Amino acid sequence: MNTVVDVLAAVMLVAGSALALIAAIGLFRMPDAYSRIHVATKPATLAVVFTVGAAVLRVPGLAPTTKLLLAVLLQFWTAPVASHMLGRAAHAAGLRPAEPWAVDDLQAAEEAAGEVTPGLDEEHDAPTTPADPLEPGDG
Amino acid sequence: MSRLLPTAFMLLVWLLLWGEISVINVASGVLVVAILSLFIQPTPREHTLHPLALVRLLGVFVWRLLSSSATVVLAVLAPTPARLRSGVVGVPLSHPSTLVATIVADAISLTPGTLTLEARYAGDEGGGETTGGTPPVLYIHVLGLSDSAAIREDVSRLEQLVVAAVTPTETTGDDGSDGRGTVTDGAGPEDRS
Amino acid sequence: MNVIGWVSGMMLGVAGLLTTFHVIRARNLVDRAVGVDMLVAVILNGLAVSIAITQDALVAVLLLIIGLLAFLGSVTIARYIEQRGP
Repeated sequence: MNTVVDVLAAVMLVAGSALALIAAIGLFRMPDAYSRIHVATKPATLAVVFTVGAAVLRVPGLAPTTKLLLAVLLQFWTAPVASHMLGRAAHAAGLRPAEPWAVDDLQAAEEAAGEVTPGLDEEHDAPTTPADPLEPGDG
Repeated sequence: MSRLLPTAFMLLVWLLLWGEISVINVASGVLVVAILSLFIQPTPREHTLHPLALVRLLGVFVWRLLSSSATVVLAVLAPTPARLRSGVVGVPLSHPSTLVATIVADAISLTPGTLTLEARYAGDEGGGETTGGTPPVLYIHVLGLSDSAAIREDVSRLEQLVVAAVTPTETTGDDGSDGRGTVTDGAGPEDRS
Repeated sequence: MNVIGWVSGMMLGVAGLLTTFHVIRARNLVDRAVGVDMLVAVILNGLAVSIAITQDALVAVLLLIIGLLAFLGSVTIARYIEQRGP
């Protein structure tokens, strides 16, 4: 901890780890699956940016720096696409939050286009099947 | 010649992976990229790139990323019903270009608090492949939703920045003059044009 | 600097434990996919912290490889959810 660069790297390390911890806490505190996608994927990406930035500051030499920069670019490129695809798949499969959304324009558009969504209105249940084989106490 | 940009980008990635610019790296990179470029379909160049506006767009990305991370951190550590209120807002874009729509959707998905769920074209049965020249409507899931109109204005501003950076070169049918201010709440795509 | 390494490592370890607990406890596939993606992000963070503390970039390629594979996995699970349901 002797130079300004080291101090900056230390701050970025702690900030990145704290962001990852907050993202993990958020997984528990968010009420529905879409909020969890928000909270778990995006601050985690930013945390990776911070910690890799700290690594770039600390590692001497150009060759590892370019690899680390490529890793950060990769995260930036792929994280939004992955979270979008998860959200889109969840919505197309019919997952809806337990308490309905305040504004729902997509529902109106889907009804206008005549699409039927499967009946998954409880957020924490699988598609309602009559016999759940994991249920204890069932013959 | 329209494959030049992807191949140059691939060569840059190759050089970055090896970490140093030496003769053997460049030579092997050119060889690998030349082989790979046989598998790339040439895309027609429909957009002109403005580097300064692109830099400004990147700066706006970074600022939005940082500021909305703070919002999400607040929502996690101190959740209030207003901060956790979520909804799906339909935002009609004003350019039929798919590249612009993709970049806008990507930027929206990158910032915490907004996530692009779907993109549909007006008058579409859902899942259609043809654009038909109409601008798409992005359906965005927002966490911490205060007002639909604020979200629509935010996305419109973002779209203007993107169009300033990557402008589509087609000039048919100017719908940029009447598209943005006439959104009505909760109506979806059927009320456009 | 070692103290910083310990602090970061502990925070990431707690994040990893919480995420693992969430993956086990999740009741639909979307939650599990999100949890696994988050686990990979914690791993990437841990690798970057180790590079920063030890100043040795031997594992830098792992960041790239794990990031790519995690992205592929997330997209595959997403397409599977779309067809099969959560």
